[in-house]
Amino acid sequence: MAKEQRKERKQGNRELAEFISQFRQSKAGMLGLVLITMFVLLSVYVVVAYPYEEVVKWNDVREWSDNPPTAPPFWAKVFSGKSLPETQVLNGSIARRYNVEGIYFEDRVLDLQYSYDEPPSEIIVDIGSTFQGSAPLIELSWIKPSGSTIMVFRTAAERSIEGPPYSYSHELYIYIDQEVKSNMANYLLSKYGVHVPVSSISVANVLFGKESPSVANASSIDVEKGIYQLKVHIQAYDPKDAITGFSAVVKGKVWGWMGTDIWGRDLLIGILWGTPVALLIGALTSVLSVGIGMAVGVISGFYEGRTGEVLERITDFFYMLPVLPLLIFVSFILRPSVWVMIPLLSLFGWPGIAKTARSITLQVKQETYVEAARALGASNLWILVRHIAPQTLPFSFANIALNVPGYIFTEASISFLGLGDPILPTWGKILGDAQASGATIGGYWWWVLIPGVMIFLVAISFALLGNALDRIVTPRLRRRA
Amino acid sequence: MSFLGYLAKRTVVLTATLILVLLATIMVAGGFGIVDRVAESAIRQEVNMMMRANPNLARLPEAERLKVMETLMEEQRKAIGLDKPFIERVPKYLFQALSWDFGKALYLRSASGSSLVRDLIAEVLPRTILLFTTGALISAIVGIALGLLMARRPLGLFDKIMTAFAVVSNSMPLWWVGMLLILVLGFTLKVLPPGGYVSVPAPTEPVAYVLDVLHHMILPLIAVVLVSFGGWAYTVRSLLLDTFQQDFILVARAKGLSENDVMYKHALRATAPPIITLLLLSIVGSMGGAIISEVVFNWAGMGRLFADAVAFQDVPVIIAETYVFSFLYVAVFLVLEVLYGLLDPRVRTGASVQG
Repeated sequence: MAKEQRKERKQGNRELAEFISQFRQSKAGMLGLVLITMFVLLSVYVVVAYPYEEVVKWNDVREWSDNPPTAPPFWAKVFSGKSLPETQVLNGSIARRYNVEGIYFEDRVLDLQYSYDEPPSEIIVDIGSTFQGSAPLIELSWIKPSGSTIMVFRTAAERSIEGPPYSYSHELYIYIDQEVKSNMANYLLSKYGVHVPVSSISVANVLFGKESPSVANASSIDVEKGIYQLKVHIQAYDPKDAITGFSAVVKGKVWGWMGTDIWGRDLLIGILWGTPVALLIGALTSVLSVGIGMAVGVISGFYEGRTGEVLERITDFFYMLPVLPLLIFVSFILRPSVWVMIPLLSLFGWPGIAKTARSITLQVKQETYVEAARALGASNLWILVRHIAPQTLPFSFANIALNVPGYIFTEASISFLGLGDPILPTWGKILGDAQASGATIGGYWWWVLIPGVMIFLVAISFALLGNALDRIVTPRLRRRA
Repeated sequence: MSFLGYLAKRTVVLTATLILVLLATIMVAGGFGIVDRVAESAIRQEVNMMMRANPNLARLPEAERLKVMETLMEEQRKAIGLDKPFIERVPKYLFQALSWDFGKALYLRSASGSSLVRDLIAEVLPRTILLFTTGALISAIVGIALGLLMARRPLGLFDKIMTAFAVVSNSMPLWWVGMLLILVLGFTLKVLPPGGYVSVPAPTEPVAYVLDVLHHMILPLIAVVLVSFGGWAYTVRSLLLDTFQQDFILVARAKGLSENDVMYKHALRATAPPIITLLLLSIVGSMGGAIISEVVFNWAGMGRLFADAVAFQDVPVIIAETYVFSFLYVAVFLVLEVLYGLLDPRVRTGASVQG
């Protein structure tokens, strides 16, 4: 008996070796396997590198207001031919202090190296100061590479509730601030003698354009390239008064590897996090539904009496259901998390597999060796385990891989409508946001292209793997049938 | 068994399926209290209208008015049976839905201003059928033609390229391809309208109207055909190659028939039943999948209505849509069974069909 078992194990090993060598010959199958391995490694990296708190933060759109909204990825210049600015954070200025007749001055300068073809999308300046009594005067000016100096903003510090010492801080959005705009108008008036209505002034043009009388509302400008300086000057009345903070965010027009969405969120985090979520949903759902389908199919084929009849009816019933509409209906009511979504998708996914598994079982059951085994007194369980299972298992492995893309698509569709997992970012949700924000008619191509490419790559990896397995498994079934 | 008898039996089974789906839908919606919430808000709206219409009631002090309102609402609840437990009302809801009476939408209105869910659905259903039936037919025709070419030289260069294309195009969701096409053709090149069913305002002349609709159909059709003709071609190729293995093809060849005659008169005819099945299933399948695609194309059909209903939480519309989709599916399966009965006598006599 032991000898026989060893012989059988050897036979099993040989079949496995044959299977592996056949699989290796399929270039497409190997490509699929390599891609899937890469996605799995990426998923592991993402979960480690961007912990769950990052995801929660990603969902909170208020966290991202410092980023430029709808900025394409940095490699976008390949298409536009223009060098578009990246976001730069400026800080670390050195104070230069001096005093004249009891008035204390402090200057700080931030340097901005700028060699892009377009001005940044916004500049946000943070100024903080501390003072003892009289409010100091704060002045912000802009020095262009050509040497022209533009007074941008001037204000007196306001007293805080607590103090002395009082603290003052101001966040200035340079492009939209009305005072900055009128200062630009004054600058143009004094330099060129032109009157430009404040409402039509583009601050970006004045600050970054090669100067001309009509620069303020030109539709496109030549950017002056070189080193710009942002200078803060404070005029105070106490030696302890000082600038406590001076920094600026120069918002670019491109962002990272995958750009940003309409709220300025870094799409990289959302799209990367979509990978483990998609793999989890696709793979688990597929395993679960193929499992259900195999069990139902094999049993209904094997026990042809009442049990088989009932199972076949149930299969037919589920087979005829409109899957996506029903899933949307159920998701609308349940608002499922990933852990509810997976069994839900499986519930509607198994009937096709059950039908095929049933027909295979019916075929195998009629084989002479099964009849022989039965004649020798083999039990039903024995026949199921020793004869039916070896025939249906390879088929089920191929089907697990082949079914993954469908489930990823379905989940993406549900997420697209905003009915998916409420917290985890998914590619479908990102594409749904893109659609709702008019990405297709607004030209935010990266927001549409990249998540979709990810869906496509994962789907095709499993399709390649599944097809390769299917091609090996199917002739084997035919040969024996 | 006679063909009519077979048909009657299948109709009963499929109708039972449909009723079961509907029952499950109502039970799920009712079990989560959604049906009651909808009915309650409908009553509140109606009572508010009644009270506003009556100047005597409007002049009553606040407390009195609330009391009157509560009595009126209680009457209304009794009138529509809301005072009874949900389970007792199920047969009534079931009967209403089966007679296509889905009540009133909460927020959504049809173009003619009607709030009846039936009117809403009647307005959008033809548009979905128009787009997706046309798309499925074009894909099938293109796919069958290419599949025939592929089967001519299996594993030849054309066959390999088309097979690769089939795998690639099958791995893209239709609605994503649609989004890309809108970006390229609608936004960047501006050669086709980026969405919608007709221009706004719509042309008044009938001919111009039809042409305008066709113009808006081009982009969605390109997307539908692009993602499905590859799969069609590959399936037709495989069916044909399977058929080539069979004895009657050997006989046809042995008779000295030309390869064209073998292909068109024998092989293609033998693959007709699975092709018809696929065609009908792909039409009904694409309609189910149309929910997202129609949002993307801004095509005011069944899918867009469904998505709108989800966005506005318009429960009566959601239930009706779920039911109508189920109805379409089951109807297609019934048509399929009839066709199968006509094409294959073994089916209706109940003889076992060997695969």
